[in-house]
Amino acid sequence: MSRVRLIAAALGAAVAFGPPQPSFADDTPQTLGARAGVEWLTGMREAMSRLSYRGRVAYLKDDKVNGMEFVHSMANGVEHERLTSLNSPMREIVRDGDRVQFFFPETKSVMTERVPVSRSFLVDLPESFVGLCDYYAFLVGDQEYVAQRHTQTIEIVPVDDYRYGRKVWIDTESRLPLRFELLDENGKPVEQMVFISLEVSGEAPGREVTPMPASGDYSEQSSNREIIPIEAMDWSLDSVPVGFRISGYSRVQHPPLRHPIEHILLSDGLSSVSIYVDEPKDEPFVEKLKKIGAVNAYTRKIDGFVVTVMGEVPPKTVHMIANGIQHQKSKE
Amino acid sequence: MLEEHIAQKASVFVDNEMDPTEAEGYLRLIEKREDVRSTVSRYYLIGEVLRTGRAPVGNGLAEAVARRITLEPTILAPARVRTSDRLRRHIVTGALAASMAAVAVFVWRGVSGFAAMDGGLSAGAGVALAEARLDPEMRAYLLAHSGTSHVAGSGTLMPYMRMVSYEQ
Repeated sequence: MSRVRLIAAALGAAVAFGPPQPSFADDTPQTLGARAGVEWLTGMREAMSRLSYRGRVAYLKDDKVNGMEFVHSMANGVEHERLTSLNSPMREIVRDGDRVQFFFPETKSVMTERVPVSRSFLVDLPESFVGLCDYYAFLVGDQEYVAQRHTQTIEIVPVDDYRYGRKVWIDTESRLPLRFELLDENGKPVEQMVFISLEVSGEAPGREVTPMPASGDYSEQSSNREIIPIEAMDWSLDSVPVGFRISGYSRVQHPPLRHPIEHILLSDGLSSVSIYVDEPKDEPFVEKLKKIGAVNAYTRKIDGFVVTVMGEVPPKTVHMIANGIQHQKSKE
Repeated sequence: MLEEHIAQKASVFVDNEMDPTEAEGYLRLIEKREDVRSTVSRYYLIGEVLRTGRAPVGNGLAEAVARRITLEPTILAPARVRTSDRLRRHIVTGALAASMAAVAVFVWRGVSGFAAMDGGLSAGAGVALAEARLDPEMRAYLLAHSGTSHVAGSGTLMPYMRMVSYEQ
C-alpha cells in the first residue's frame, strides 16, 4: 500500500485535537492511535518545560556530526536554556524566559531576541495540534531502546511529498525526547539529533544556564522587525502546496545584513517556509539551491529583486513556491 | 596521542572535503601510522552510527573507545569543573557509554564543557575565528527563519541547532 493511501486511511478518522476528550469509547482504532500520538507529544512538551536536565547532544546534518551541550532548567517559574557548540566556531545560544541571546565568536557579536516563553531550543512543537491532522498523521510506532533506555517512537507522517516527516523517540520514564529525526519522502533522515549523555534533576543546574558574563570584546547587535499588513504585499504566491498559508508579512533587518528585507512567512501549522525579498541588484546572478541540514533554500531573481525561499521542507517545495512568486507591479 | 591538526584533518578527510592532492598525502599517512588509521576509522564509525541509527559496535570496541576518551586530554579547555553535585543521573547510564561511546569521541574532540564557558566566550574565540566560514546572507536568513516559527504558531525540530552548527 502506498504511503499516501496508508495515511489517508489514518486521516479518514482524524479528529481535531483541542481540549482532552474524556472518553475514547466511540473512537475508531485509527483515531485512538492518532490521539495517543498527540498525547505522547503533548506529554513530551510538558516534560521538556518542567524538568531540569542537561546533556551532550550529537547533531547530524549533511553527513557532518556536531557535538553540543544542552542545559535546561526551570527556576522560579522561568525557563532557562543553553545550547553550546563544542567545536569551532563554538557558538552559543542562551534563553532566559523570553529573552534569547545568540553569541557568535567568529564575529565577536551577540544578538538578542524576544520569543514566546515556551519555545524550546530542542523540539519546538506547535502550540496546538488542531488542524494539523489534515496534513500529517500522528502514529504511535514501535517501542525501541535508545542507549538501553526504553522509548516510545512517535511518527509524524505527512500526507504528501511537500513536507518532511518526523520521528521522535520519547523516554517512557521521563517523557523527554532522546532522539529525533526529520525524514525525507523516502523515509531517510535528513537531519537528526540524539542525546549521548543526559542528566535529569528536579533541581535547577544553577549558574550553568546563566548567560555569559558580558565581555567588552563582543559587540551587541540587534534585529528589527516591522509588521506589515498582508494586504500591502506587492507579491502574489501562485503555487503553494495545500495547507500552507501566509502567517506573517514583515520587513526585517537582521545582522549582518545592513538593509531591511521583506519577509513573507508561510506555515501549514508544523512546517514553515520563509520568503525573503531583497532589494534589486544589478550584479550578475545565478539561481541556486542551498541545503543546510533539513533546510532547503532556493534563490531566484524576479524583476530584479533577489528572492529566497527557505524552509524545513523538501527541495521541490521551495522550488514550487519560488516559481509561483510574481511581482504584482510587473503584472500591472 | 594524535596531534590535534592531524586529528582535525581526519575529520576533513572523512567528510570528503580534503582536496585531492592533500588527500593523497593523508592516505600515505594513514598507511604509515596506526594512530591515524585508528582515528579515521573511529570517525567513519561515528558517522555510520548516526547515519544508520545502528551501532556496529562489537563487545569490546565501545569500551575501548570510552577508555580512549578518558586517556586523551581535552583540547580547548581544562577539565570541566562541576558546579553542582546535586544532579542525579537518572537517564543515561552505562548504556550511552556503550552504544554511543563512539559518538562521544566527536564531542570529546572539542570538549570545552562548562568550564570553558564559565571563563567567558573569548576563551574559545581565537580557535573559532580560525575555522569559521560564514555566508552572512544565509546566516541572517536562517536566524530570521528560526526565530519566527512561533509567529506562525508552528513548531520545528531543532530550531536553533542549525544556527549553532552552521558553517557554510
